[in-house]
Amino acid sequence: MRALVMAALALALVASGWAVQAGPAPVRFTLGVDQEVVGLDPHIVTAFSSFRRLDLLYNKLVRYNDQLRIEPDLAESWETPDARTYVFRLRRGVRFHSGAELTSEDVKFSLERVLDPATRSPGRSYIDVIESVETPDRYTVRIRLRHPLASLLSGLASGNLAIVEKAAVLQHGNLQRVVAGTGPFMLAEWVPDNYMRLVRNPRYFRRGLPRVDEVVFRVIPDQASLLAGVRSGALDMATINQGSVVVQAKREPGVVVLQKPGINLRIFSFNTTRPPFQNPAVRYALSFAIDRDAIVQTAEMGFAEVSGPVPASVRTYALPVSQFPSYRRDVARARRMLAEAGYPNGFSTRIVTSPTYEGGIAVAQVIQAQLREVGVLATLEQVEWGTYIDRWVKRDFDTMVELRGGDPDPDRFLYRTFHSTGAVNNFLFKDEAVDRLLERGRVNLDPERRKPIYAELQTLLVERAPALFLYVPYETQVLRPAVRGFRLVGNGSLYYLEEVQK
Amino acid sequence: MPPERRWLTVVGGAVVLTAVVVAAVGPALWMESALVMRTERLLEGPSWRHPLGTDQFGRDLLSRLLVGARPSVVVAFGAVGCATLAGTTVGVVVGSVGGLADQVAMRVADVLFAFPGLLLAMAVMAVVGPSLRNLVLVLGLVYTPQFMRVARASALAVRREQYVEAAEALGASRWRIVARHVAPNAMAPVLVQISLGLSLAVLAESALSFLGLGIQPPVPSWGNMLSEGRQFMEIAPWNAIAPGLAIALVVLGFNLLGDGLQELLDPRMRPEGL
Amino acid sequence: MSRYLGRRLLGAVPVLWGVVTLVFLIIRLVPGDALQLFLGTQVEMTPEQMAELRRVFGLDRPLWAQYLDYLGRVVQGDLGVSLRTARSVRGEIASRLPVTVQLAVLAVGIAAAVAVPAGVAAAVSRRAWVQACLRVAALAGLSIPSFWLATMLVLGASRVGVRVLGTYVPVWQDPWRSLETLLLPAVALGTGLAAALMRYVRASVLEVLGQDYVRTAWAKGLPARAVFRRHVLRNALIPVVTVAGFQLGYLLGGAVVVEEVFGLPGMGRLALGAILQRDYAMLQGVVLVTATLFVLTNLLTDLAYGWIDPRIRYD
Repeated sequence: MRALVMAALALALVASGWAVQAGPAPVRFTLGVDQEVVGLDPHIVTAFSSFRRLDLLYNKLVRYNDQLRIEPDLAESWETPDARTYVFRLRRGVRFHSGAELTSEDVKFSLERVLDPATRSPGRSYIDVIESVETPDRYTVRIRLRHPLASLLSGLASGNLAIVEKAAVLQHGNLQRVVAGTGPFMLAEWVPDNYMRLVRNPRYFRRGLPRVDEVVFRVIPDQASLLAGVRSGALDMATINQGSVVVQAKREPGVVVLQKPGINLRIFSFNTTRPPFQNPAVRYALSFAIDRDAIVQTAEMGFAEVSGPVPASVRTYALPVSQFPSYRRDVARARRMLAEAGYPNGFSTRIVTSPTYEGGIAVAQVIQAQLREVGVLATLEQVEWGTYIDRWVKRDFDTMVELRGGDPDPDRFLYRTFHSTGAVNNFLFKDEAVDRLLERGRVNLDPERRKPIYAELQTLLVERAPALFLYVPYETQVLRPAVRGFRLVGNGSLYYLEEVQK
Repeated sequence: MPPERRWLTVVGGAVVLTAVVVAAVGPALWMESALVMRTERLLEGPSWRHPLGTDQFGRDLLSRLLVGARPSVVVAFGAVGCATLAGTTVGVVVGSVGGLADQVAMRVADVLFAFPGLLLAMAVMAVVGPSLRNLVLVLGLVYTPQFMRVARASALAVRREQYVEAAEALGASRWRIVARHVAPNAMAPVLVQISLGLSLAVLAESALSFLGLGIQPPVPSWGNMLSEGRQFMEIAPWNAIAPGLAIALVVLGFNLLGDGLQELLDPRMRPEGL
Repeated sequence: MSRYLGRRLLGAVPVLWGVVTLVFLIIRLVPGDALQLFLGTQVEMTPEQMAELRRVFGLDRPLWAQYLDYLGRVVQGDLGVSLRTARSVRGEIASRLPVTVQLAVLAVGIAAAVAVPAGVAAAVSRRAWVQACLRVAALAGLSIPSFWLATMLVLGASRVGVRVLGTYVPVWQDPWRSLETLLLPAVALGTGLAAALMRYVRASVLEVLGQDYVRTAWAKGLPARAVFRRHVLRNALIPVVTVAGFQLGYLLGGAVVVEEVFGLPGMGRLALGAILQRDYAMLQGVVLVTATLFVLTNLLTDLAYGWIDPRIRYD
């Protein structure tokens, strides 16, 4: 009996490295990710993990390239006859996975579906200045705006504004389970929590792409396991966000690490309606109390870049952090400012955090230790993810560690986050000067004139401190050395998988 | 008891006693050094200054290990204590009186038993929020039915023994019989269950920490040290080895002590423990 | 026999009812709103839209009405629809169950295969070093957390060039690959089990060896092998079956931690996700199915006694 079991074990181990395949095997690219997705309707989903898959299934009118500049996607070119009108010329001969040709009608339908409040699309707020969408001919789309919006193209490049096939939506109701896109890959098989298999779209409009026959997404929640998967050959690439695993990966000759500062921003938020944080001086004092470099070194193992309100990776707009006085830690000054604000002995507060990566438990621990040095005693409230979201929505926190999805256009990120009417201003932050700058920045289309506005705004936001801006984490992919042609976009997108080879 | 078994029991007792003493004084003596972060000394290996090395935040691992003994020991003794008290009392009583009370109690135990334990703990922790006290109560609840069953089974068996029947024939009251005869004689199997339960509780605390529902940082427990240290397994293995060894050692201590005590209390039984 | 079966099955009904009720209550006490979680932090919704959604999912009705409604549908075998994925709970569970059953059976199998010979050896061996080694091995097995062992196995195996983390395929599609994927996770799960099981085997073998009928058999001059097979092993198996059955039922609840590390799509992860996402219907379904399996496994265990030891009668 025992001998039998041992033999079985030995056989299984030997067989692990051994596989037979008949005929010319399709080239399969396996990608490890740590989260399963809930649905696939590009207009409805909100999770980062969903967008990574939609990148391969759908296209948008325009997209960001790996320099974070807008480039054509389904739209071949566009012009703005006046500040309130955009005219897009579509590529000809683009076909949906169903075989039907993409026309201006599908674009109009997609935009209107996002704008329809009944769809409940998170993308609606990006483009709600759209007054009308017209289709002068089969390959032209004209968009009229209520007022000029500098971040319109950025909004249209969002994953939530994918162009879908009108007929498919009318047939299926929504697209959570079916795919009606033009993307380089088509959905073949989906076993939740196990894998999703995509196959090459033979009619893809970028000639010669994609270069692999299949892309398989494997869901493995554990980060160390993801690296082990790449090391052992079960995965060709894995998305990693845990610093310790990245350190290990960099030491290994058998794997390649690609890294780039991402677009998401780690912040430490205040509820600006709760004492003592309704006093901007207290919030600003804490900006001097924390050591951002130490946070990056410990919580992210150095794989992040200290940033102001505009993600540091957006080089066109982001001010160098050396221009923010409070970014040089000064405990004495922080204490003095607290004393002037009426808290000579500091105060007690609570930090809401969660053990997931987004919930930033490590960041919270460092901030807690640093605040102690200026007399602020913070208790951690570590809650699981569900409760965390609940507290976030209800604005039920003193302070909170967050990871915000940033954007290459400063308007799209900052307006909804810090304007007093902003959709995700859960700091309950109200500041007239900030509101005015945000409003000026968004109607100005000329980047050269926008720059000074956003420079002033960044300085102001750091001082008024609705949140302490900390850093942008690096985006990290771990690959097998044989993989060629992959590039990081810098906003998490994976659409360069269409150019990947192995 | 043969000398080497007696010796092992003493070792087990010494380990458990050490853990208890460290748990009692640890937080008072070393809390400060367990919490202070030193950014210039991240993930350092063992040295004279830091005999067990430092963690991700440059905190001294030895201090954290000594402070972290308390939650682990409290959870183990607390949870098993609650379960033993509740489970044994109910088990012995219903096993002795029988009838409807017995039926109802056993059905309730069945429900708790059939409910997957870790799921129950996870769900309850999500409701009441993670804290040391809640952890003790939840794990206590999860372990109660096991003690109830064991105690009830031995109560049933003891009741059929001649000395109990004799006491009944002599007109002793039912409660007197339970207290004087049934309960003491049902203790041996309960004792085995206790040593097993203590080990399981220590491990359960670490599993819940792994899922983020255990002792809250920055206060260390062996469970959360182990689950935090796990991610540094390849670049700084000492982070996970120390708490892992501590857990293994204490579990070992519980088992050795349990085996020894059992043999001591009930010499008729052959040594059960391996 | 059939009367016994009937009574046992009938007895399971109140237990399952209790389980359903308990989970129904617990999950509704948890703070956090399923709908809000579903929508995440990026969507703005008016209170009217929220109320409408709540109505669609039946979350606007009083608790007792939801409860009665749920019980009614469960009795008809309808477990409802997942709040999160809008797929049928039964379908989701059906796709996860094979993974979990395979994993649990394999883990218990491995544990038994190791524990029975080791336990017997520990009981009969007179060599001190054998005793000592087995004792240390058993205690080590008992004191290693399974998530820890799982991580070690993944890292270790990937270092020595073994392909880990293969994609799960059901055993009926490709038995070989299925075994390949599940072997390491099963070892991670089975280790602790093996250690516990070994204690029981040793204890019961020792007890049986002391019984009169075994002494008689020896005295009759039967060969050791025959005594062992006919008497010792057979009787020693009873506690083993009890414990193995119990553990199997327990493992069917899903080994959350091991599934997380190995990326297996089992019941444990389904349950964890359901708790974290407040997916009421899904969690209720998972717990109910798990509890049912647990009860059934225990019943099978009891029936197995009769097969092992014909003296045991059911009435």
